[in-house]
Amino acid sequence: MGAELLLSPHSSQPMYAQIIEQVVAKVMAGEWEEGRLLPSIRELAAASKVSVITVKRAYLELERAGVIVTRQGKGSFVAAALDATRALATAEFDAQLRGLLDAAGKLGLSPRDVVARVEQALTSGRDTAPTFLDSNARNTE
Amino acid sequence: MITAISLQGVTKQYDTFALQDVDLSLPEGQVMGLIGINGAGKSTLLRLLMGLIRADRGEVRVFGQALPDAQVAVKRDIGYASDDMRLYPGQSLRWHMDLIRRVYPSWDEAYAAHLIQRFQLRPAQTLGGFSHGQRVKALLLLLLARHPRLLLLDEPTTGLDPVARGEVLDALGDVLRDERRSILFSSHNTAEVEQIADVITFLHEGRVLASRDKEAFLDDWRRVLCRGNWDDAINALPGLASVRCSPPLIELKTSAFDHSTLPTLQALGLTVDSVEAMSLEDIFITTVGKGKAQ
Amino acid sequence: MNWLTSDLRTVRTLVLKDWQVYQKQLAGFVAGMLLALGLIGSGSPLVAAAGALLLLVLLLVVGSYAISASIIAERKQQTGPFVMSLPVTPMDLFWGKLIANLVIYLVPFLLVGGGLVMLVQTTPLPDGTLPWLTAIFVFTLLVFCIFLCVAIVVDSEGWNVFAMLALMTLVGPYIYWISQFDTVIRYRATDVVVWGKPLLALLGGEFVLMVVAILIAGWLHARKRSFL
Repeated sequence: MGAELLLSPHSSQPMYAQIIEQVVAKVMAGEWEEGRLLPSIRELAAASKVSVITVKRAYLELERAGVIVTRQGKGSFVAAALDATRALATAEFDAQLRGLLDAAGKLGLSPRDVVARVEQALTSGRDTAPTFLDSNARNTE
Repeated sequence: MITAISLQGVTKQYDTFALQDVDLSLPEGQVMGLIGINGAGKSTLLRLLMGLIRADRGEVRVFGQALPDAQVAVKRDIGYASDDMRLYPGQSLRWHMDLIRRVYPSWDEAYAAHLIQRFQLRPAQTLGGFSHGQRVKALLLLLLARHPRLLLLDEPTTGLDPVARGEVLDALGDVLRDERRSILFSSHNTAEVEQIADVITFLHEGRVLASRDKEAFLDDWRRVLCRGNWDDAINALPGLASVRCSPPLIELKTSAFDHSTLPTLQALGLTVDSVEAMSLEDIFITTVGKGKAQ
Repeated sequence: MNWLTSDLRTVRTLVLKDWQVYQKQLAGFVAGMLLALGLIGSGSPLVAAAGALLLLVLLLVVGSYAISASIIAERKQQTGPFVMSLPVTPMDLFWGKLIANLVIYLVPFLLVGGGLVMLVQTTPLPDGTLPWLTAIFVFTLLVFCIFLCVAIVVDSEGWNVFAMLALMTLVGPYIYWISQFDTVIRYRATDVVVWGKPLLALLGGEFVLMVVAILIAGWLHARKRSFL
């Protein structure tokens, strides 16, 4: 029990992604409540035995997604409840978007193609993507 | 920002080997992992930083002070452990601790006692009776207990069983907490470097092939599996480090993966099956195999 | 290049370290030498001669053992890097090794020397042997000094062994040579102590030689621009 996250260097998932996922899990479970001060980057790095730069990257992404808020000189805090739920959903959406773009890259779709297909999906109101793309979405990043 | 380590244009010549034009720097508070095959120059680099050898050309500085001229002042703040270092076999660990305590005012007896527990060492035992793992841990204890600002470790975990390795990494983790302390360690264990290093430096045949922020470095490397007919233009792919063919599959490893890589391949008529990040071990083997990186 | 040490305290620590490491073996040698003294003072000429030989051998061996243990073994045991990683300069190590070995040798040397003088004065041994014995004694110190300087400066074990053997073989001819001195021939078997100018000059020369050897070794070591 403590600042430590349950990270594994042997997992196929990159470390910074594991950190993001586990911080999100803690926030969603209510373990880390709104306004709570997160462990400092160094403290988390030392406790989890990962490099500082990896933790930094994770914190940056968490902030970008709105899950945490960093105040200069004070540290990082879990974002306000309302923002947090939305932020979590946004983080999830961003992850899906990355998966989508990776799949598009593999297919060789140009940005215009991607936008066209998305527009088509939005207007027709249902998913037009073939099923094999779903299983490949988690293959990278 | 204070620079813990700085090497500029450093060259050192030996009969069979030479370190050439090495440019490296490490800001305070960071961890640098040095990787390279045996004989690549890792130990030489560390000895230069300790002032044990003098470069033929170039400047070596630690905490801004030139080595080896300022070595006495600098060595007070450095902890160095290397594979070829041995303690006095006829003397006990306690004797060594007392020796270090006399020499360094920063010795922390309480922390030393804590490490003895953690490493499960017996202070009254003579070093001659220590196993390899215990000896390595004893050396590290003598370093860590005086809280040096810079740790220079030449293969600190080589030859240790996984449990002992974990204990050592744990203790190194303590060092990370202090943003004024830095670590430079060389290791064959790429997984360990991948885990705790902030900066990765890749040494090969006496030259620095790459020295970069770990995340950025790992992000540039990808293994791409595609399908299609071979086209000689594939060889011109930027950063291409290795290619393997087993028709209809083609496996590519590149060190310069970006948003233009896949379109370029597709323009050559290939379809992409998968794109994967590469482990540092894979990058290491691929690089040394081809003699190039980045 | 800086001749002096960076810090006297550091050198003292280095000397203390070597002293602590070789204490036990040293005690053994001193015990052996005291035994030799006992034999010399026993009264029987044969036993005395055996004791004298034992003493001579021990004096030569203690010296070379101390040196080989502290300097050569240090290279073999690879404790060098550990010491070099301490806040010391190469010159610190030089003075540390030099002083440590001199102390380790001088302790039994002076002890035994004193014991010998007492023996000569109190036992039936003719007092006139004193100058002759002193000349031999000081010669072993000279041999030790030269061997020490060679060991510190020269890395090769082969050369060190060669130096040791060469120096030891000189002992025989040296003893023969001083035994031919006028004053020795005339007064050795008597109870009259006569030093004579040639002998005194010889002793003086030996001390000068020791200092010169140390200075040369120091100069050569100071030219080293780094440890390795």
